[in-house]
Amino acid sequence: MKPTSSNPDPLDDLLAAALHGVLTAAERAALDARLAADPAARAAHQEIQHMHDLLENNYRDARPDPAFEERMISGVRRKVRAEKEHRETAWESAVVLWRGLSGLFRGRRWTAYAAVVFAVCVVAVAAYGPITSGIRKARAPGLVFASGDQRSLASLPADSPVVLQQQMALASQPDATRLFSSKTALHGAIDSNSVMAQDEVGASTDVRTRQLESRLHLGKAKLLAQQGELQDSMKEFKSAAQAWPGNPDLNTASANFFKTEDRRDDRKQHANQSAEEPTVLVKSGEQETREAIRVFPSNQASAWDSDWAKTDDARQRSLRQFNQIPLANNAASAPSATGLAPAMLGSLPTGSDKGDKSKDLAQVIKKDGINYVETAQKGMTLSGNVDTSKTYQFAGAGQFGATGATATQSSAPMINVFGEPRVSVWPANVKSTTSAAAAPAEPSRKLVRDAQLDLEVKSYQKTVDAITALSKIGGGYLDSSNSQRGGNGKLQGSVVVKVLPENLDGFLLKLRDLGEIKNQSVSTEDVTKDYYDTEARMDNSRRMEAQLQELLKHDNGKVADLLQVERELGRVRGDIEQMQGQLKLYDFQVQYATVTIALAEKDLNQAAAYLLRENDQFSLFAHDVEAAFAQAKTAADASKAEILSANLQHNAGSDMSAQLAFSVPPDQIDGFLARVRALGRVENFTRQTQRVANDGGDTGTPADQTRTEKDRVQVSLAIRADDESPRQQTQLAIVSTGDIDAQAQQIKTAAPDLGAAVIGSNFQRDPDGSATATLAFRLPLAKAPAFMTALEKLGRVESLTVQRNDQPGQASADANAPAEINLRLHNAPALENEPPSQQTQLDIASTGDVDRQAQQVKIDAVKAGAAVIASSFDRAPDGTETAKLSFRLPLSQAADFMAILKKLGRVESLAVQRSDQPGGVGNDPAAPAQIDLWLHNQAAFVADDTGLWATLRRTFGHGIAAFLGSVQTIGVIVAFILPWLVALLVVAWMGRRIYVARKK
Amino acid sequence: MTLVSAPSQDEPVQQNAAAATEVPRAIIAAALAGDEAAFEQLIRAYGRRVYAVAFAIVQDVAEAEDIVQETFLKVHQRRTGDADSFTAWLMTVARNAARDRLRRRKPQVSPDTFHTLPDHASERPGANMQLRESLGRLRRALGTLPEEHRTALTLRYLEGLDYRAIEQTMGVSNGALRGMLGRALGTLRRMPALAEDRP
Repeated sequence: MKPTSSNPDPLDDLLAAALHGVLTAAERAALDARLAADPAARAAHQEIQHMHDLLENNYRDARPDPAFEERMISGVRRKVRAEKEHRETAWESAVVLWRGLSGLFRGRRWTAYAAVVFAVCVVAVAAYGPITSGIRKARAPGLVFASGDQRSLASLPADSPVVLQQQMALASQPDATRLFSSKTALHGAIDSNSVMAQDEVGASTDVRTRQLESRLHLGKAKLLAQQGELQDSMKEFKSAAQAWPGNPDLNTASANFFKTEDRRDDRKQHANQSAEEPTVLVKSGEQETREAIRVFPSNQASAWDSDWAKTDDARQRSLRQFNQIPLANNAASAPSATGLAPAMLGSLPTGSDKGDKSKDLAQVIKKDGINYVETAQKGMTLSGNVDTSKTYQFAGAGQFGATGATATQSSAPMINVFGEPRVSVWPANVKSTTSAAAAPAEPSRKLVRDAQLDLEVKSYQKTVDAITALSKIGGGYLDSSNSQRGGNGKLQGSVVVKVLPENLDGFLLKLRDLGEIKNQSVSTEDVTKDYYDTEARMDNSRRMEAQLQELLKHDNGKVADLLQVERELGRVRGDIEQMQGQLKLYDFQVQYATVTIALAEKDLNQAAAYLLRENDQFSLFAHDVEAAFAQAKTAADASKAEILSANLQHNAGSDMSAQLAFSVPPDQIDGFLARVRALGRVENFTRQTQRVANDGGDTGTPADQTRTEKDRVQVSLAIRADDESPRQQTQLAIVSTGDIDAQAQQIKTAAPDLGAAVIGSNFQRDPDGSATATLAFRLPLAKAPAFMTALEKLGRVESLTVQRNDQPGQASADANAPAEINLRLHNAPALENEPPSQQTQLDIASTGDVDRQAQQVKIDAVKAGAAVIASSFDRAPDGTETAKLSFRLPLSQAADFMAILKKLGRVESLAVQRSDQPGGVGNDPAAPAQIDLWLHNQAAFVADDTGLWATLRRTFGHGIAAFLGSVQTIGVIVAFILPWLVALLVVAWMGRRIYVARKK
Repeated sequence: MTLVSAPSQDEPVQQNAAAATEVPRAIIAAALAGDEAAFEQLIRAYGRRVYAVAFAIVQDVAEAEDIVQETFLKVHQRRTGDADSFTAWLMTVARNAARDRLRRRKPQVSPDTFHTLPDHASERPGANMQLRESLGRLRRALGTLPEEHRTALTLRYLEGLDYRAIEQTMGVSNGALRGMLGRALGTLRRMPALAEDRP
């Protein structure tokens, strides 16, 4: 092999190869030649040899020991075993995933990124179809639960409507998947521990198996029925129905079966009538069978069938279960049920949701262990502890005719259905050949008939006369009558009439013409049994009486025996008398029907007179409660009112209140209320009017002739201090030129006449001669305008403030609402203290010496009667002089003084503002006027603040200001940026740390 | 005159030349097909070479043994390799496992890691202090060599493989291997850190 080397110094390669013994002969010769000639090569050879030795020493201890292989093998084997036993946890999976992803995304593997995104998209698209399909399947109609909901369905009872609905869906859905879902869910409901796991093929196979099983059972049922094995046929039929409830052949087969049985039974019945032997009749039709299929729930049928044949007790229990089936409920809640056997046996009392058949499922009367069922189709049926050797009698009420029917073993069809006798009796109009023809001669019936009527008539007496006449026509008589008259003169009472029973119906019809029937009931009690029982017992007692009498006649025994016979004879005779009385009572009750008529005249409860009761209640707010209290009592006396109660209370502090109640004659009420209302402010006035029946009758709409009278009016009054916050507050300031004190007294005197109450007054005179009177008035809102007019006559209105405090829900125009007026009456103040009516601002550019002119103006002002109330003088660095002066003077002199001022220079601006008060006298010459004068000269062309130094100073100032502004700006910027900069640096540092760590 | 003598049988380096070639392809194929006995045979045949490759990278005896087991565990789990290229694939798995181990190791590998090698000189009483220091310097110098050079040296001096076996293990040609070993030894002899150790 020709060695190739890219080593820049082939000497190292040769030396290494020489050390390792892999040199070829030519290489060895060449190397030897070089070593002999080159001392450096020899030195290199020695160095490499030394390295070789060092390396030998270095790796010596790292060499694996001889057991290395075995150790490795056992270690690998152990790890393989642990790997098999170890189940990767979610955390480990996540770690592996993270490692894989981190490895995947390390570096710029864009293809890997694309592949991952593509894979995610593919998975999402692939999963979308099944998910939406699953949702659609879960929402499929008819199926209550999808296959995934087996547990929830399993928690329901097997006869639950939901389960039955699912069962129907199972039978009707053609799709194998849905069938499987339904069947599995249903299976879970019946037996939650045996939920089968099948695929779709398995599901369809299972359904076909069930259908085949049902058909097989049905075939066996037909075969057994043909052979006469009815019991076994029933079992097979039921099995067929249980295997496939929706088998359409079930109904057809059952209908054919019953038709066949009916024909056979008819033949047997016809043959047995002549032989007078008990017959077996299975009476049922196709419709009944279908109803029975619907009615009888499968679980009860199976429970009943499995139990009944085992023991007698179980049979009894099953029979009870059967009889206790709530037919109507089951018909509604079990649309698809199995259990055809009871229906096919023919005695099942069936119900129907069509028409009134369910009503015909009359009563199931359990008496002495005998079940008695009436139906329209099947007549009467006895079951339970029926003794076939006995005769059972039934009163033929209702649809079975009045003559009744008798059921005997020989006359009625009987079927041994549940191993017990069952007797059926058919009404005469349905099966006359079986019951009526074979019935024995009836004894006379003892029927007690009664009727009750509630009759509303116009005239009680006329009606009683008519009833009496009718009863005589009906072969009866008026037994009793009573009546009472109400407060309104209306009569009511009751009449008892006896009529012949056969005329009862006609009599009742006739009664309808006499008035309006409010209520009617007719009852018939059959006492036949009791009557003849009593009669028979009486016959026995008579015979016993005769025997006892015979004993007395022929007995020569002891006295004690005779006495005992006597006692017995007495007891028997007592019984006989009692029974005779009972029989007579029966005879009488049977002979006449009793009609009890309750009569009432129309508008029986109508009242004859009404009383109109009025009740007034209100609150009176008065300033002086005590005075109002006394005045109210005075007003009551004046109105001839009766004071029912009067109560004056002193509450805490000066607060007082009073309650009064009056009974006022109705003709005086208006005058009384007017007097009381004048005492103060009335609020919350309520009037209740009630009409009361004078005689306690009905308080409905009165008849035309009903009298209505007005009762005395009850007035309840509560007087309270009028501390209500005023609805309107008026602040009025009047400047008077007259005597303030006298005017205040005058207005206080006049206030009560104007309807105002003085609630406060104050008078003050200052040393400077100014006098001020403060008065507060409270008065009804309606009287405020007139009072204000009176006040404004006192002088000039300086100010007027009106404040309204309307509350929501209150009538803003309530005349009685309180109003408050606060009057401040004072004489004319010093001119400078009064607010000016006219204010003038004058700006004059002077051409002269401003200071001197200002001094001159002050002198002129004093001469003109104006007061200088302010003055100032200012000289600016640029030479501008400004004098500001304010003058106060009467309005009448303002114009003249203005003319003087305008001579000072050129008027640059003039502003005049008038402050006329509302209602005041705008041109009052005494009203104060103020003039503000601004007198100034022109500014110098060159400001004093010029020159190099001033410029430098300004420049330096501007520079400092600019510097401080920049410092502020920089500070704001740093505050904005610095936190983010630090955060970015931290992130970058962390990123670099991570990058470096991963790179290493 | 023969200045360079060929290595004799009593030299420390043992020649395990036949190790790689003695494993028949059938055994490799059977092991990859799931035969446990054949797989054990593979471990016996390739275990030491895998150890050498791992040790060349991690320079730690215990870790190298763990890597050997880990490598064969991965081979056992995957078994996807071809019998013809099995050796190269096995060594690639071993190298990757060793690199992963090295990457996960904390602190990071440094030349000082070579101090983890058992120092047989210090274990023997009266050992030559100079030799111990020389070995310490050599280990630090080895840490600076490229991985390929270190692997070649390890296979040669640790396992005593001949050149053909090393070529097969590393998947390089004879010339390349000779170059690697020559440069490795040349680099070591020129290293200033090992100047004291020069004769």
